[in-house]
Amino acid sequence: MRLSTYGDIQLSIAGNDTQSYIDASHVPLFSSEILTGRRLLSTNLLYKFFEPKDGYKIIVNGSIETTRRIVQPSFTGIVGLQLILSLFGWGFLAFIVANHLDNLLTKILAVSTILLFAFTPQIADWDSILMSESLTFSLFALEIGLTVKIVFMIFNNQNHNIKIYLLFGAIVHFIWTFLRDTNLFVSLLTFSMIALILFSAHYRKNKNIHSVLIFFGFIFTLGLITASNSTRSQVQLINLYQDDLLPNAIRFETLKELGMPDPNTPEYQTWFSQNAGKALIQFMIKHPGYPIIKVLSDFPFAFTEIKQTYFKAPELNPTREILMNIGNALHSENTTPFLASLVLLIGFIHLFYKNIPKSKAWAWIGLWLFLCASITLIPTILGDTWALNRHALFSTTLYRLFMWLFTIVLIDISLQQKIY
Amino acid sequence: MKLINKTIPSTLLTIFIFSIFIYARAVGYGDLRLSVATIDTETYITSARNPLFSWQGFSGRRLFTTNLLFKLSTKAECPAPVPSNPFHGQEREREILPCFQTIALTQNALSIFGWCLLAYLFSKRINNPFYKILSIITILGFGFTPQIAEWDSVLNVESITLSLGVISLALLIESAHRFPKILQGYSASLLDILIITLFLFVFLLWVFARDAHLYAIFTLLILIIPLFLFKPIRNMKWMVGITLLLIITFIFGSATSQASTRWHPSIEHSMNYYILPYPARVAFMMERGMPNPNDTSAYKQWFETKANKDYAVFLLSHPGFILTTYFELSSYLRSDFLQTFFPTPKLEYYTTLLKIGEALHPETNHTYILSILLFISISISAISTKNTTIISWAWLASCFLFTPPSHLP
Repeated sequence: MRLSTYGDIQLSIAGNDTQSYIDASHVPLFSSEILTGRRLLSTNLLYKFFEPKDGYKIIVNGSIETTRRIVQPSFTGIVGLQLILSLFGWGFLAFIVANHLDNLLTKILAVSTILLFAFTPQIADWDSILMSESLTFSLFALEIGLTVKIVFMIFNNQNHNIKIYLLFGAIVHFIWTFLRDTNLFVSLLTFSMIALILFSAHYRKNKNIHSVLIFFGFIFTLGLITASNSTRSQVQLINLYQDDLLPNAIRFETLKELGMPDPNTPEYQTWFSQNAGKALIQFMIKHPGYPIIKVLSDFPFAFTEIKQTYFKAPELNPTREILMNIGNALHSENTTPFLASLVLLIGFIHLFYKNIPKSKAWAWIGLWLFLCASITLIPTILGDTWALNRHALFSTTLYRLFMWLFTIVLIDISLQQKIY
Repeated sequence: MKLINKTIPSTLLTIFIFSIFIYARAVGYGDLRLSVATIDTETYITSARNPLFSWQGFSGRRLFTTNLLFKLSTKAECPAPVPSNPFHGQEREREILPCFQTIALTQNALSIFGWCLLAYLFSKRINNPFYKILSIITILGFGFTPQIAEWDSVLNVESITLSLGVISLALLIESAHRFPKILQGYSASLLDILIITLFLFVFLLWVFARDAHLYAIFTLLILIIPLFLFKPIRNMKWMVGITLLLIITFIFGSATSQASTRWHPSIEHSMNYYILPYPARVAFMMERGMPNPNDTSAYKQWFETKANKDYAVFLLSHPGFILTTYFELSSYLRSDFLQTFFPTPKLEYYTTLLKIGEALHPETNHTYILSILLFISISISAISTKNTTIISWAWLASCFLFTPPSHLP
């Protein structure tokens, strides 16, 4: 269905950002710029690997106006890989989740829900767009699947041989982390959640957990160093200063107190490139109300308008319209998924304390998933003022996926219990 | 009083939560006497002038329950207020209308009482203290956010429909959970009978608020009649009495509805949109006796006497049409929950209330999918565990799930 209902699998469309992915990939492979340039390592490698001899040629750009996708010969490799990873990533997640459920009905429900979630236009459309969203979704779906597998193996029997899954997981996580800077926070979160497990004497001597801890610590350190030395953070800071901080007289005065020169003077540019980030952190510490209010006020907005706006495909109707309607039901564009996820998470933590079978592993995975969504959403809201819906798409998609996934898991657990 | 007999702190916390919500609801939306009329308000006022317990009282332009409510304004021979008409860009501010302030006050009071009763009776059936509190907050948040609360200022049928619906739901939950005890051989206590009687009273008031509610009796009968397969139920004379009362009410409601002109506008719309533009459908209706629509006088006579029955036959014999129309128009079932008759206050806290309301009243079809998933799960649980509490919840879930679709045709 996924292969036949979205038109030619080679169809693609660029956005305004696509050129920056191409340009960023032109830096030498073995140079520090490949990590600290305008774009991150994974997309740099991807665009470098698939670059044709005569270079990339963008023929259609959906940021200028919403138009049709076409077959752009220089991008068929990238768009093909995006599709394959999407099919594999979501398929793997559906298979693994179903594999860890007991009831036949919930297995069927899980597979159909996860595949419909991913293969409706709200997610599947991104596979044709030449930016980082498609890879972000697909690789993380793969990562969730691997996490479910690994966590269940560890919780069931510490002596299970999980090295192959750990290796595969490490590769996927490495590539996924270096797609977007905010993904780095997931490494920090995972490091912290695994470190907490070590407080339990039961797991303290598990060498696999030690290796995983070292891996996430390394990824976070590497990511932090390269991100802070990169040029890409400057663009987000410029947007934030121009749209949010400088127009407000009180914020402007506070920044001046922190050493900011007049924005109309030549010293401003020098100060900005060296001190804007530090000044922003100092500003937020001095005025904690600013980040709190900004997160609260932008939070509901981040959940809206999640559909891509780069292309239209009326030639795929009426199938596309039906898929869009199904997708609308699965991808609600409001904060309900956040609330529902929170309530479900509390329920799973409660089940964990009640020692209900399987709930320990699911509660850990649920907490990790919920925090992954939250820890990437907050810096997205605070870090940039442009295209919030698109930048927050990963986090809001996770909340929506959580809501469906854990409802089904809860149903499965309840159907297995004889506690009534 | 299981909810408040555990410990003093939990009782105090529960009272505190209810108090906070009731206070916020009572003051957050301005003076509770504020109201706004719609273009339909005049019909409610006129209809209420009929004697309540008369044939006209049931077969007039509006139904018994709204007639009863609008009697509150007809004593003073009130003229109809200037209506708000957002469709034509004539939206009006709410105001205290001396003749209608009692109606607005009653609507608000019933709404506050109804949602609190539902929160209390629902949470009473939840075992874990944390989820008791969560259920109270969720239900009161659901009922007291603008998506529901603003309708209480509108002089129409929506507020009374929602409030009476919520009260009957609360009493149905309580009645359904008292039933297993009766099934196990205990005789029904006075309180059991009182609660079931109260439920029937409020439910019938709700049924006679809008014609479409009549079909809820049909749904309830479908869910009650199979219970007679169990011997203890067959031996309960009062259960037979309730079933007969529901059947008689259904027949009476259908007869008064048929005798009225209330169904004319909706059937006229259905004919104009779904039947007349399609030759095959026209042919089907003509086979059933519909005259040629070009023969104006014969068509008018048929329309006033038989159109609703023939349209019902059309629906019953075309289930595919019902399904496709349902999916085509499903966007109407997930959008525009907010009233449009008066402008919402431009206050900061009000925007927050709207945002919270948007999370609790999602304008998407996912609520329907989620409801079906949960219904399937609880039904399987009920069958596999045969636990009476789960069976009660599964039975209630059937009512939840099947009552709203019965209104759609």
